[in-house]
Amino acid sequence: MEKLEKKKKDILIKNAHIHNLKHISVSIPKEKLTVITGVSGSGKSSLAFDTLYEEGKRRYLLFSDTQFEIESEPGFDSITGLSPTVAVEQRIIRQSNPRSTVGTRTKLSSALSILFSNYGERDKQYDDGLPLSMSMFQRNSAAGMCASCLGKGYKKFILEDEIYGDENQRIGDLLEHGMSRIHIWRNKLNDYLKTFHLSIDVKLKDLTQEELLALKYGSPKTKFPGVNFFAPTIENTWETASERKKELSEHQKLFLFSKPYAKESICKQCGGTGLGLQARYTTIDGKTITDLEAMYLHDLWKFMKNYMDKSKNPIAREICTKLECMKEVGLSHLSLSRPLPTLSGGEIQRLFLASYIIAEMDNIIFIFDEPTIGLHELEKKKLISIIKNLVERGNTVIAVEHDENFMKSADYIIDIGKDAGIKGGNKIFEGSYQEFLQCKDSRTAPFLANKNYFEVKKQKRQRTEKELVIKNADIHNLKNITVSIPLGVMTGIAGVSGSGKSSLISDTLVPKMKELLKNKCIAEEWQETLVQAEVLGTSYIKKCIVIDQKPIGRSKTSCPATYTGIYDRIRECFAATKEAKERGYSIGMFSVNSQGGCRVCHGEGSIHWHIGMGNHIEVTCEACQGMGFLPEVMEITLDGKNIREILDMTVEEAVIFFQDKDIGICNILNVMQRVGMGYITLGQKTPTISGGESQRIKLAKELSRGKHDSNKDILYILDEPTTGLSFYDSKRLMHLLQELVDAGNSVIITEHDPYILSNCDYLIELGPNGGLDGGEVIASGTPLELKKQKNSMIGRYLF
Amino acid sequence: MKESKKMQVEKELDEFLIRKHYRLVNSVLFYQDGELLLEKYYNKFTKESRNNIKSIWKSILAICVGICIDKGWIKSIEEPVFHYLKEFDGSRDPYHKMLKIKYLLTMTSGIYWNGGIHYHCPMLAQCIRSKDFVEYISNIAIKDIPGTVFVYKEWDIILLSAVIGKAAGRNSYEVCKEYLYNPLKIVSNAWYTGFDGVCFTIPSINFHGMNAVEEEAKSDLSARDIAKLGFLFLDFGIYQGKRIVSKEWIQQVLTPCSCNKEYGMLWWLGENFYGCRGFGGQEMTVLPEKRIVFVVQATATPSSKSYGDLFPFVYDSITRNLNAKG
Repeated sequence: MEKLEKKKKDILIKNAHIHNLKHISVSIPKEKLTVITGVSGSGKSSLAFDTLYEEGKRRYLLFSDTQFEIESEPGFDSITGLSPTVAVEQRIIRQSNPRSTVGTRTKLSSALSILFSNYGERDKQYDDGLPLSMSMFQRNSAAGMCASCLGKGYKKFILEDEIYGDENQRIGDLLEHGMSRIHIWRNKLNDYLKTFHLSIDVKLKDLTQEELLALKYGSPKTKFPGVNFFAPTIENTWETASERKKELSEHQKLFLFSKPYAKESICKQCGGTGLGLQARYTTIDGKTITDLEAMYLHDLWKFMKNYMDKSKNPIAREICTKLECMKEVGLSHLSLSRPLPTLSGGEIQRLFLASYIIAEMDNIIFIFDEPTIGLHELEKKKLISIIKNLVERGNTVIAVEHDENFMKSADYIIDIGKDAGIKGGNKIFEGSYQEFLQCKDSRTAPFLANKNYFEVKKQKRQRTEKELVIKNADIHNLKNITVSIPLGVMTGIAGVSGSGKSSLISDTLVPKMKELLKNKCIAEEWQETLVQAEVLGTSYIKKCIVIDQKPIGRSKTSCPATYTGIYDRIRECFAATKEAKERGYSIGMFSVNSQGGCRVCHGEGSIHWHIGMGNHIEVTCEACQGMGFLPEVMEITLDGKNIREILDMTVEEAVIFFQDKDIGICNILNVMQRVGMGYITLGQKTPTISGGESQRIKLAKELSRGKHDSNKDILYILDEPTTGLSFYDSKRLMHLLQELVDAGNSVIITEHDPYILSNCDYLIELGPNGGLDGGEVIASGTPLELKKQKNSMIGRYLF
Repeated sequence: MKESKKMQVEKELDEFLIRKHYRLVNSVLFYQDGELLLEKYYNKFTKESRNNIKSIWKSILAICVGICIDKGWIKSIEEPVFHYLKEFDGSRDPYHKMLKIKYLLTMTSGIYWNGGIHYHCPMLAQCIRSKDFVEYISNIAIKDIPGTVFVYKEWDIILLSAVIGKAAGRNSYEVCKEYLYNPLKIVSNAWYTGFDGVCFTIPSINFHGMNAVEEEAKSDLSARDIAKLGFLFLDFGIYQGKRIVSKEWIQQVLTPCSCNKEYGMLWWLGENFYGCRGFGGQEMTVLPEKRIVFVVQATATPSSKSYGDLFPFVYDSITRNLNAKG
């Protein structure tokens, strides 16, 4: 301790004990790059974000008078040496407005709007001589949006012929299956029948014009909103009420899920631009603002640079500078129109990083959360040099990272561990990278010290004649390519960001599989898109499971326990206790969304305060002390633990707890553990779960379903499943995936990590670069073959 | 004696306006039983001066619809809009088929509207620039089931003006002029008419050599002329012994609509009054039981001012000074 205090240029944290941290003290050198590492759930984020950043933010806001002091017990004794602290957490962004895009976030869209309104060339035919305003180029503004689609660019159409085509249908045929099973809808339907004196058995052809209109579209005469009103939501409604899905008969399922009743098409009025007439016919160098927003940033930069050189326009210069920074941090594959919620955590981090570079500040403490996620080895190098630059300029950078090269570049390493949850929270190591390699206690150091520790499977599976062929894929930047993906093996799809990996898999293969395999293809939130490509070989596949990085569940109170379904079983266990029965508590009492939830915070356990400038502060709910439940619910215990205590257990702890209580719960928990999610708590809130974690939870849910011997010939499609996992956890997840393939299934992984790619049986690499310079297959074969291929860019990094 | 009492009322009003910083009020009129008890003008206004009517125009169009029904040009307000405007036949949006003339009169068409801050109507400019009002509005998204949700907006009134034009075979101003303004001796110029021949008195943007302020000024009315609309309603459609519009129509206009108890058909309703309101403080209020007609005109500014406390003040002042026995 005394030694620590002598170093004046350090940030000293004394006795940190928030979450699972075990009263640790660390010193972080200023104006250096420090990496905090450790297995997932070991307490890295608790130290970096919940202790250091929260305190930095609190002090800064206090001194700048932008916030009143909130009394809360600090999770440490003291922190000294703090400067203004900026952090980019992955979890912040996951709750952002779906209308915000890369362009709106970076303000580049506004800059383009100003450019277009002042310097745009107008089509003579539509030039009305009136001035253009900036808002006319913004689809989120009432003055600029297309009034038909309200700026969305697409519209929902109800397929009335599909629904009402059969005139001999009874009203009941139409409605009994879908809505009448939901209580409030049933009431509304009854209101309709009563208003028009009809019975449920009247046929459509016998309705008067007014009655039919009211049935379709609703009417002021009745509370019934019309069949069209709920037609687009039929599927979603039932999907979310998945418990009830079990109650549906086969006939009902057929009606509900066999065919679409609504489709989304491009808005005819604006041609998908979401903008009004004037904006659609104003161009710069022949391109509309919509064209520019759809370009890859790399291409947009070239375009703007060319325009700037010609016109010497100051706004164009600003735009170019910003685009250059975004290119630098490895975002050239994005476009301005890309919605923010679809970005990966790493992309978001780098988006923020780009704006810091522009600001050219020093003496700031930056805290990053795995900034290298989703980057190709080549791009990582660049990113590391940019971060080093920040440090050289006099800033302090602290990053939570798992990436080997990133750690190598660090000036200082802090390792938290040894394991996750209650078995973690200790400081294992603090010092230089070289010293770290010698650290025997760390879970991470052995992987760094000894390459072979992360075993690479030398024996590759042989290709058979079974393969999936994607023919003539040409969506986005794909250059009309034909790709064959071997089945029965693990195939890795590699390539730099924007090279076309997602275009090939998520935007071509997945929609095609959904189209060909129908409900045998399990994928979330799927929009009908016109895919020209052809896919052959689906007859080899019984089922296709697509596991993406989208968040699990929609509500704020959803968590791993609700998503995997174990919450229902836990509630049943509680309701079955003697005490609960005596008090007459049903299962609803043990849910925060039902009777059991705290009335003040609606089960969230905390209350949010907006403190200006888009910042929020969370305060523990006083009524329930942050528990989210009513106090009487907390009095019921299961083997000494109340419902909150169980939700606060990590998966690992829960496995032991439920060992001899419920076999169903244990099965699911075991799989969760195997996909590397042993550290997560059962009640962790969805917004704080990263994309990689969501994906692994989804994987666990799929794997715990059904009997294992019948699970053959399934195609699993995964998108960077090891995102955010430490070496140790990645290794476990790889084992599991290998087992899946050994059992006769196929796996397709989109990946950047050389270790994971080296463990695949077969690789397909797209490139050579991002955007227009990508979209071709540059190499394919086994990892060993790729190592030898000159064209391959990832080859030299493989093992 | 009475004159000095009237002057006392005027004096109190002057002081009130100064105290409240109501510098933009131009005319204040108070009639009871047809007698003009207060007539005060500011900012160089006279009894001939005409002021923007803003949304009082909506209430005037409501009278025009009644006239169309009396003449048989419109059969009933239950008629679907597409009988007159083919753009609304359902080919652009299936919900158009349900759209009735009644819903245009009650602001319940369900067409998407964003009024913006201080009712600046950001969407209106696009519509006016499109040159074809009806075509443009027919392509706007439907947000609510027609007839179910009250949203005060300009689309409904533009469509109504177009319906009157189609039904009568001449534009809504011509109907208004011949059957309302002329018999009431109301002085007005021809309303602004869009490229598609539809009248809309608030063009709001300068356009093709057209000056929006000048165009809007054509529909301006004097305070005394606006008061005539109040007399017409007090006598259930009769003005100086002449039937202008049917009694049934006046009653229908003043019946609260099902989606907003304070709105009839383009007329605002209250517990013991009804009247017209326009942006920036235009007001005409009728207290039928006391046979009072009250008019306020003011210069409109972007901040959308209104002068709701003016009537209670004037009413109190007049009661104290003029109605006091003794």
